[in-house]
Amino acid sequence: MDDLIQEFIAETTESLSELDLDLVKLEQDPGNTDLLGRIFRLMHTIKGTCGFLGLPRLEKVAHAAENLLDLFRSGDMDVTQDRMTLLFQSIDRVRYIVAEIENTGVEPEGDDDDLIAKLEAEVSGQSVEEEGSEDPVVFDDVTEPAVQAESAAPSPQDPPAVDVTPVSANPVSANNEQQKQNNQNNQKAKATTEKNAEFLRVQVHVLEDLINMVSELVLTRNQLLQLVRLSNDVTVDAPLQRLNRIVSDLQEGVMKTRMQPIGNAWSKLPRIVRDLTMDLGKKITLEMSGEETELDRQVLEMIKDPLTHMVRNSCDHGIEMPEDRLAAGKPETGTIHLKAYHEGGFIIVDISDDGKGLNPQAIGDKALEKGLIDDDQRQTMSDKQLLQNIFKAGFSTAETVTNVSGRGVGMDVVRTNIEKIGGTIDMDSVHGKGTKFKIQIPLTLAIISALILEIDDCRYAMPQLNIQELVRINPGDDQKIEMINDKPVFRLRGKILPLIDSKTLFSQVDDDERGDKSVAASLQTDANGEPDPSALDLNEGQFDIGNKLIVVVAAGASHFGLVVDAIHDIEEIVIKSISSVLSDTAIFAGNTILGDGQAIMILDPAGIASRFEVSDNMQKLDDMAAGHDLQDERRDEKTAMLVFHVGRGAPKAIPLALISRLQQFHAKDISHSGDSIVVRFEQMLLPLGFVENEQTDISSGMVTTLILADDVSHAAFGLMIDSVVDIVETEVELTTSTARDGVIGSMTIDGKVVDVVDITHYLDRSKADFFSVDAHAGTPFAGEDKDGNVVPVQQDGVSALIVDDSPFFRNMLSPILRAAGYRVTVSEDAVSAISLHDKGKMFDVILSDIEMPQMTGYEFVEKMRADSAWKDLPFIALTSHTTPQDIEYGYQKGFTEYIGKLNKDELIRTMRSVLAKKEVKAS
Amino acid sequence: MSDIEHKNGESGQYLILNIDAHYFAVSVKNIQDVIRENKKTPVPLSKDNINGVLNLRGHIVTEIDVAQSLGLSKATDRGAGDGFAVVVNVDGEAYSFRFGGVGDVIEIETDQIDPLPETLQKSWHRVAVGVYRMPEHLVVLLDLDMLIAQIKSSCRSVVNAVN
Repeated sequence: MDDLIQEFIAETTESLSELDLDLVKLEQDPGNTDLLGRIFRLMHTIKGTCGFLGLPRLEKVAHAAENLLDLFRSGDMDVTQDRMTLLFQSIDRVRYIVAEIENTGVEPEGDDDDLIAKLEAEVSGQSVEEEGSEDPVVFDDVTEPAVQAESAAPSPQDPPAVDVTPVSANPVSANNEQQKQNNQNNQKAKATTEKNAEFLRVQVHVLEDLINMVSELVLTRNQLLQLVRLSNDVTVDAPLQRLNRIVSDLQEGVMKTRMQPIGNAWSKLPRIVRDLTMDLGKKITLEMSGEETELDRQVLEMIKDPLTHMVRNSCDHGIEMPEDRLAAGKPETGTIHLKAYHEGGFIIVDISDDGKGLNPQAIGDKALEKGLIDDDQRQTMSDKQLLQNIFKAGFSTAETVTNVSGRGVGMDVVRTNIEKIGGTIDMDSVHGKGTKFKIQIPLTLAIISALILEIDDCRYAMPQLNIQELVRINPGDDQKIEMINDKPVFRLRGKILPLIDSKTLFSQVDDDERGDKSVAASLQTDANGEPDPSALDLNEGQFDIGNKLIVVVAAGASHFGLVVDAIHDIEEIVIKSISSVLSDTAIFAGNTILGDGQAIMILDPAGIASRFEVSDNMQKLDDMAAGHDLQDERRDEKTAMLVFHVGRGAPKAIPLALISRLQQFHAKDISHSGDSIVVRFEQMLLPLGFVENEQTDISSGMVTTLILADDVSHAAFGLMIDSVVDIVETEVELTTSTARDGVIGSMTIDGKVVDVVDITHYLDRSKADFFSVDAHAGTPFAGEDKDGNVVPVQQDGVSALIVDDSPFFRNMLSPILRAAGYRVTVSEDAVSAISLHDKGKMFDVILSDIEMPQMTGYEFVEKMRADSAWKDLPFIALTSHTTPQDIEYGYQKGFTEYIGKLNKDELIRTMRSVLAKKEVKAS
Repeated sequence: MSDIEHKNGESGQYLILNIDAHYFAVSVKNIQDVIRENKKTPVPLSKDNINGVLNLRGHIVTEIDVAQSLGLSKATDRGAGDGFAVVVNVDGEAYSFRFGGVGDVIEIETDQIDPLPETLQKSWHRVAVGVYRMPEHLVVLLDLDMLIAQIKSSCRSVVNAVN
């Protein structure tokens, strides 16, 4: 195919996608003359160019469509849906012919008389006898645009002798070439003024070559840097630094050339939605935001199809028929919203609709029917888990297979495609309200950050995206490794993690077994069917983890622990594809060259997961190990507690959520000022201290510190500890009998008593250290009030309701209040609190959280104050974020008092004063 | 292996290489480099005749052990530290073919190339295209493209079996 036609095809394909978008807009805004003018010009250009190139079939279609458009433009005819459909059909026909030309080099056989007849009928039906106002460009008229072009773009060369005959026979004649070019210049000039930006069409492979060269340059630079670092030669330092910076800039710049706005992947969607609304008889608007968000070309290509599929799904299954929507009290027109934005090195794409949502029960039934889950699972799965079934292979919710989305391509394919590029997909759906999908995708695939790890004296790279955490197994922790059906698993915070060690990873797996997708079968056959020696070792329970590390890897839905010998550092690596002779290894995603010049293999988490079948095993192993009792609902009740040692007392625990970070300080950086110990941290002096004056050695080495911070008051405090023991997810059952300064109470974790640290005590102390002396010295727990007056500890008969969605706070507050003598009822959200009200329950005081799902504390108190049996009760707002505005707002809504969640002294004090006022009012 | 076209040796310049007492000739047309023993990274789960990958001036090259491919003892097992490898580009991918020693470049005409003896092992027939008689010993002409094609086809059969 000659260059001219190729260029024409590239240009036309681009114009066509623009046309699609513009036509959809025109349909919604028929009076927009600018838009109409643009559409007309695009169609006219296609028609004109076809004339030059000798593509009569294409030209006829474009011509007929142009005639109709011209009537719109002149105002002789109104834009109607039928006419628009006709125009869309014409564009499809043009697209089809162009695609054929691209494939075969010639126009396809056949004619378009049917379509043209319809177009002409439409045109002539409007008593316009002549074929449009524009002269039809047939071969004889081919000179006309060319001459225009000549005059518009004066050329020093002789005006081309326009030879009509060879056009169809030999489109590549030099004359035509020149005409085309001139014409193009003309068009380009127009396009430039319209778009007000300059673009250059560059072949993708030119860019790819450039990127490869830059990648190599980066590697060479890394090697050079390493060499210089070793040689201690200072003379090269300065130029090397400059080179370093330039190469980094160059790399960044070149990577940018691969970036394209995500809108490119969306451009077809308005048209698709428009056609679907016609086919399905629904009313749908597609809203898009963040089209300009850029991402890598390669990634863009990969998500195009999944996105299209999901939007189709939303139209077909999500949005209801107009009458159903009206009946459900929704606007007649459904909305699908596409939104793209950056978040922490990722691109997030949200696809949400306000349709009927997904019915978890219906999905559960369907999954059961399709054999994706069994009866037990059906019973025990939470709604959220039931919904996840739509991502499983072989699932389709449509009652009838429609031509829209029932194509045998399900959400499992969508998920697979997204996971292939290191992305994740998450879904949330409220039955009757709508569905929201959240896709998280990496910015680029070419350069990734990877952890370099060592297995059997050989280094490998593991994409950092997939790494969740690193766990070191201390010799005493061997019991955490257990065998389930001869497979080693590791118990990590109550979850079961399958382990893969080097012997297993690098042993040839029997092909039969690898092909077998049934978990149960593979678990059974392993015991006798696996020939390699590692399996035999496992059978004997000799899983030697020694002094190794476990890298917890997530590959899509599956998690596994890779046992490695050592961890090196994190490097930015350039992924190079592996040689085809290594393609059968299946566990590598590519290879790369490290800074020291060594070529190493990049591990492929998804490949490893599928090779070892860990993908679906997790849940089953979990169930097997825990006897089906680890359900989500109960897990929700658990709070992650960080357990640590300091001094000689009992181990201490702090809810993980309350620790801002774990920081190590050099002992030499820690200074003593007066009685307090401080360290410089992030431009401020951080006060340090110990729990209950338990001491640890801070004279040398590194000191581990838990940094506690209060976002609201900006108070921060560093708690020095000896060592972190573990992070345990557990139910918090606090005993307050052991409460004392700095300790809320005690609880048992794994059979041991640990003290739960009262972090407010230390935060207050940090404030006190700075602002007032001894403000909180020795605050006693219940028994004495602030002023030291003895108050009755027992508050018999006073009943309190705590409404808080956080299990930790519910579990922490209720024992504190009980210890102070209250009768406590807890409620996990406002809705269930209201149901208590509706059952006729009565309390003396209600403590409510502000931020809660479904109904906020503000709404809750407003509703209760408006009209309920509780309308005169004192409502105390519990909050961790307080600004004066919030407090004011809370009072407006009806709260009696505002207190910080973590401040138990204030809590008790406030409760008393509120209740005292209530008594006064009552009496 | 019938899909691999069996070519006859062409006239041209050939590089003589040896593995112990076995002598081979490889057409210089495709040779990009002759490299000495290089630091390689082994690739677990790969075929036995693949020694690993190495970094050759910023390009990743896969090293094929010729001795192993021909059923001789593996070069690495023989502790041949002074081994030489020729780097050849096959279908856009760079491979380094590991031999023992390297000799001269000689001119060989088509009519000087004798067919392979029928009795030679199958593994040799698949990659050798003829025999050339040097004054002191016989030299086997190797087609390295065919060696790669052969490894690739066995990779494909594994992949197909899995699918």
